[in-house]
Amino acid sequence: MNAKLSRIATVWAAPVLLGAIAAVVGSHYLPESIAEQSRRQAELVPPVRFTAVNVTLPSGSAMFPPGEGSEIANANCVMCHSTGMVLRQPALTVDEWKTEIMKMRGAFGAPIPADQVDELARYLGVINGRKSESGPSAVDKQAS
Amino acid sequence: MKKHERDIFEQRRRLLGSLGALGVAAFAGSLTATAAESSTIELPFENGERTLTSAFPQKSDVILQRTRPPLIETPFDVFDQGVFTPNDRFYVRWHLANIPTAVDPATFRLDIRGHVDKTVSLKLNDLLSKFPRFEIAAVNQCSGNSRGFFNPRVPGGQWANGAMGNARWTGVRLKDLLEHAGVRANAVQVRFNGLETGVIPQTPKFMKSLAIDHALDGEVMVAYAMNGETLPLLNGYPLRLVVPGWYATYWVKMVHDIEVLDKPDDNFWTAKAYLVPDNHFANVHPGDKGFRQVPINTMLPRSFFTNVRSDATVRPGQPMLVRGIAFGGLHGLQKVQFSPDGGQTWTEARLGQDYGKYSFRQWQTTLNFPQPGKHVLLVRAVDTTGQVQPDTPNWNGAGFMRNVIESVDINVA
Repeated sequence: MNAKLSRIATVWAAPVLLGAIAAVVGSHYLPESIAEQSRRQAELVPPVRFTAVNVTLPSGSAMFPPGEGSEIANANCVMCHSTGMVLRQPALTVDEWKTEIMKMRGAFGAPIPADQVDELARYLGVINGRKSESGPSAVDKQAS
Repeated sequence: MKKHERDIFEQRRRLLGSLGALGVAAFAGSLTATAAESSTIELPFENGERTLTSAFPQKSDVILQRTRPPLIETPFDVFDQGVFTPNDRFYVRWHLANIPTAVDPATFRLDIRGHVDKTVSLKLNDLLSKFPRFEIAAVNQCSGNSRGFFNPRVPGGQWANGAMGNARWTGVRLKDLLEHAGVRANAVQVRFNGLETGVIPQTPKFMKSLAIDHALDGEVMVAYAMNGETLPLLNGYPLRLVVPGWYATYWVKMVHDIEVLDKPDDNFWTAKAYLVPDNHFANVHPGDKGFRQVPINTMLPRSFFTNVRSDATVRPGQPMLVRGIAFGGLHGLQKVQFSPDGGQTWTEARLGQDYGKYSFRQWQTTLNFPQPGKHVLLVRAVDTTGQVQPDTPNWNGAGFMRNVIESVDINVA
């Protein structure tokens, strides 16, 4: 019985083994697959080419809406950022605007003279303000 | 076309005829918004009117948040069109207004210096030819994405949910670059410096740092391509740092200088800015003081609806395909759960093709409400550690790390 089994195994295994050997040997001589060729090609070809880039960015130099104190804003804020950043903020109280101004002076070096801080805060409270009673202050001093 | 995508498209075709009123409600707004030049879009919070602009180089139809330095947001309908965000719609966030508008690849150098065995200065083509190519799909999300939804409101860029994007990033591993220079044993952190500077010398230079072990983890990379093309200038051409699973503040744009430090970085942007409350969801109460803060770091799971907006109307008995995107943050996405009834019951949504643990993944489900009425749809992502999105929003004064469960109200009528 065992001898018969091993005969069957030999009859079936021999061609499989031969085939495997032929495949291994053949793969060294036969051309590689198209997928393999394109993979090797992709490795050789750089994925991108760097070119000189020269662009123009929108100037963002619009001035603040007219009003008492707008000249302080125009002289000290617009140099670093366009007005839209201020106008698109949620409405803040004068005190909250003052916190923002002190952050700009302290963390980023905005050259706003100390004696103009209050007037600038009042101006910002006029163009984008809310009354102090309308809710708790959520403005913290962290700059980011 | 991959099998999952095909499934989704077949389903879409089958349902198209019956989408009817919902389709009109969900898509009409976005289509008309993008059809006209310099039209406006209304972000869903107070003072939320914004211009759609194509005034920025290599960008088209994006939401103008600030002209200088540029803050531009991706309109949310873009996220319904695929899991990879096209480069020309990809959001942009710069801190400082002196941004080089010209980059010459012939003279650009990436320097690696500090506590290394040898200082190196690499040409762009060195990155292409001398280092193994590395590619990863990863979400880039601004720390302050969704800040406009904070209640009470907080100052800062007033983003809706589009200060994020997903791309295939191609480049070289930071590990390979650092090992090329040879990291000395006393290295503690690695600091990345981009080409932007402040307008006045008093403004701190924008730099960010990562711990040395993180920098050497084999995933942090220097990318020279985004979705198979060089980066748009405003996304950091020619090179940007990619820090998978971490908020975008670390993904330094136009990175040209990598410095290995032997002590923790104390520069303003690493040590004093971008701090969050030291608790799981960066959550405190307005007015709280004296809590411990740490530098913002890894991203939390999030999920969004992309094809249906609040106040959409659908007819009773009409099948309705609801879909969106989700991501796991630091950990991969395990599953996306959907609730058709305001959170009473949750079922697992079907997921689209998986592009890796840091990528967006599409989810979808089909609904059929037999009776007229109002319904609140919710979606939440669960990451591979089992972490779920919270059902109440976090709050902090900087407006960082929002990841509350998103909801959409629909009318069945």
